Formats: sequence, structure tokens, C-alpha cells
Amino acid sequence: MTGIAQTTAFSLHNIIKDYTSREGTAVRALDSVSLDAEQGRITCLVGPTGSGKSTILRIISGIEEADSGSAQISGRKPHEFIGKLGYLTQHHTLLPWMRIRDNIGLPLDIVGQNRETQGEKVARICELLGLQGTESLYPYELSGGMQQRAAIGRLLAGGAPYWLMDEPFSALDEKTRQRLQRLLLQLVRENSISALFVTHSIDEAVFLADRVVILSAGPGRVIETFDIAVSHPRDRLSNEYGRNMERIRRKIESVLSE
Amino acid sequence: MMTLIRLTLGFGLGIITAVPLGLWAGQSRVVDRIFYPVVQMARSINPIVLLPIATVIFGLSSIASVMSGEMEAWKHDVWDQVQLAMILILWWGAFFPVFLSTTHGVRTVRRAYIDTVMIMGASKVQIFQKVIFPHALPFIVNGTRIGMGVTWLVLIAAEIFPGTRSGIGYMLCTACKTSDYQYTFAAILVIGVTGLIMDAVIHRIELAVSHWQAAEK
Ligand SMILES: Nc1ncnc2c1ncn2[C@@H]1O[C@H](COP(=O)(O)OP(=O)(O)OP(=O)(O)O)[C@@H](O)[C@H]1O
Ligand SMILES: [Mg+2]
Repeated sequence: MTGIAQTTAFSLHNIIKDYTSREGTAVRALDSVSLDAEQGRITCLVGPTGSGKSTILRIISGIEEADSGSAQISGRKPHEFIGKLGYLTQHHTLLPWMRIRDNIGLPLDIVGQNRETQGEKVARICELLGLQGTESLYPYELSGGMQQRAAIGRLLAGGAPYWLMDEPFSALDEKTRQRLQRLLLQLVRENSISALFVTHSIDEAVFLADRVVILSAGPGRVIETFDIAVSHPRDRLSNEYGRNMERIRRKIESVLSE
Repeated sequence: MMTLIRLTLGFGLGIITAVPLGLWAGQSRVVDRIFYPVVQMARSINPIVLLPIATVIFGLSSIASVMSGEMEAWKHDVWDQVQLAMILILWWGAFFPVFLSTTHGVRTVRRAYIDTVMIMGASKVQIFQKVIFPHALPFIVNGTRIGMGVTWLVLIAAEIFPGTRSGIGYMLCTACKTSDYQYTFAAILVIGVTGLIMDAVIHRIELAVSHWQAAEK
């Protein structure tokens, strides 16, 4: 971190993105989206289905280009961050034909790190995340929660300070989900991670985020940005928590009823 | 046994050519466009029908007749029984199932998997190694299994054609002509059992490489 207290990790400025549908007509997915996500913080993107949340992550990751506007990571172009970015896709994050060990070590393998260092690092991560004993299993042999744990392990192994996470916990039961939310907060703090986190769950956003960006139904536009200045760990039963939940819920409902 | 030598050669040649071409065509739209009509046309031609034509082209020439230089007599005898025409149609029978399932295996890779490794900074070669090939592998083996069945059928039939002096199909035919029905029956049994064994072996391999697919739905 430089002299400025908060620098921007991810920023989008007037992003427009159109897709061509099967019939050949243009469908606008993002309509002039601008947002800033601060360094070392979790920023949550909340919005109804089809509001372009995944599209935003893909544009920031550099695998997709916007039609106009600019996307930056730490003030630089996304494609400069290829290999320096952790990305969890919405579905199918682990490679099903690889053992957990190889999945977690994949980012290391790709940069050509030798087997030994890789093995040590993976073992350390498995221990940290409670994945001991699953190393030689395949993803389908693990529960959904353990799979997402392994996916987070892979982000850790990559060592990137920027994480893009697309609804990583949405398929999990409440208890597992809350456990992983706490784990994520801990990892983000310990490793100074900046994360852009997509979720459908208002509760999840209020629990994790320092900033919540609400998107409208497609074409996606930013409806409102909330900062949540409550220190972690947050108490779900506190009044303040309830107030934030309520604030965001109202906003989202107004979006949905438009 | 001559039959197995012919099978290995023709079938092996089929796989060696079909897999790389399939991997290539699966990744490139242009290559696929070029291959598609040719492949679809060619594969609907029954290889047995091709045998007379192939025989006209190659005559009865065998591998021995195109190999130059001295060789021991027994080697010459063996190679002399591997007719080029027969190899061609075996290749024909093996190539298409393997080629088509390979391209299918490549084309059905999920975008998310490729994106995932791309963002990790994977090169084209690494994307192929880590994602495309492992995904295509069970499809390749499955195509091989189908191709093996086809090739086996074609081979036995082809051995009944003139110019052949060995092989299980030839024996079957000769036994039948001389009304030696015990021998005929034995030959049929051998054909069936060999087919079964070969299929079982490939099926084993298939299970070993495709175990993760059940979770892919
Ligand atoms: N490759 C594509 N081709 C055509 N249209 C697309 C493509 N990807 C996304 N879209 C369209 O863009 C819009 C936004 O999609 P996106 O996946 O970003 O939404 P989302 O907010 O992530 O939705 P969800 O909450 O369901 O994951 C949708 O209308 C979608 O149909
Ligand atoms: Mg999405």
C-alpha cells in the first residue's frame, strides 16, 4: 500500500457490453457500468439473474473484452494480470480429471514450479484448510463444501492478491456456507487479498463485504453502492446487521419490482 | 496368427492417424469445415465394398513387395501375407469412429475449464495438456472400442476374399468349402471369443479413464 490510505483494486468505468443472440440480435448485458473496489477489501456484487455479474468478472479477468469503457486492476490493464489473478468460475471450478492435490497445485504447475516445492505448498494449504486426507481423491468424491474449500486452496496456491469469485458458496447448505464465509474473511485479512465477490444472498453480502454494489436486472446498471463500515467478525444478531440487511433488501426489491 | 498382425497394423494405423487429426479438427473450425464433408461421405462407404476397388488399385501387392532389400525368408512370408488393400480397408474401418469421437471429445470441453487455466497463465500447449486432452481421452478410448468392433468384422470378411492364404477368415472359408463343419464351427467360436476379449480389454481401459465423467452432468 502506498501513501494513500485506500487504493483501488478493481475499477470499471462506463463499461458497455453487448452479446449477439442466436437469432443475431444484439443483447445488452452491461449498460455503462462503473464501480470501484478497494484494495484489501471484499466488494460484493449483488443483482438479479442476468444482470451481468459474471460478465463483469470475465471482463475484469481479461478473458472477455468490453465493447467500450475501461476496466483496470490496480490502475493497469487486466491482461497484464494473466497468471496473477485468482478466479473461481460460477460452475465447474475444479478439473474433474485431476486429483485434489493436482487441482490445488495447478497454478504452480502452470508457472513451472518444480514438483517438490509444489508438493510442500499443497500439503501446507491442505492442512490450513482442513483438507488433509483428500489429496489423492477426485473432486467428485468430495462433498460440495470440501470441493469449494479445495477451490479456495487453489486460489491460495496461486498466490495472487486479486480474487474474483462468482457465487462460490451458493450451492452449499447454510452451515457449510457460513463456515466458508468465515474462512474467506480470515484468508483475505491474513493475505491482504482484494476480492470481488458475486452473490445472490443479501445476508452473504452484508456479512462479507466492505462495499456492496447493486445491479439492476439486465441490461445491468449500477443502481446503488453501499459501504458497510462494520468491523469483522460481524454479528448476525446485532441491530446494525439487521439494518444493513434491510437497507439492501429494500433497494433490491425496488429493482426487482421495476 | 496372420489375422492379428493384420489387425494390429490396420487398426494401429487408424488410431495413429485419427487421433491427431481429430484433436486438430476439434480445435479448429476451419479444419473441421474442410474435414466434415469428406469424413461424412467417406464413412458411409462400407469398407468391404472398398476391398475390390482397393484390390484393383494395389493389386495383390503386400508390404513385402514394397519393402526393399534383403530379408529373411520367414519375414518375407509374413509380410507377403499383409496385403496393402486389406490394410487400407482396415484403416478405413478404424479411422472414422476414432476420428469422430475424438473431435467430439475436444469440442465438448467446457469453456469454464479453459477459462480457469487461461487465467492462471497457461500457454496453448498447457491448455491442451491440462484440459483438452484429458477431457478428450475417454471419448478417444470409446471411439477406439467402437472402431475395434468394426475393424474386426471387416477383417474377417476381408480374409475371405481371393489372394489371401492365411488368417482365421481364410481358414473359416476353406473349412466351409470342404464341408469340414467341425473346423468351421471352431473358427467361428475363435472369432467370437477373440472379439469378446478385445472388447473387454478396451472396456477396462475405458472405465479407467472415464471414471470422472459420471460427475460431469
Ligand atoms: N456468451 C454469451 N452469449 C450471449 N449472451 C450472453 C453470453 N454470456 C452472457 N450473456 C447474456 O448476458 C446477460 C448477463 O449474463 P451474466 O451471466 O453475466 O449474468 P449473471 O448476473 O451472472 O446471472 P446469474 O446470476 O444467473 O449468474 C444475460 O442476459 C445473458 O443471457
Ligand atoms: Mg453469473
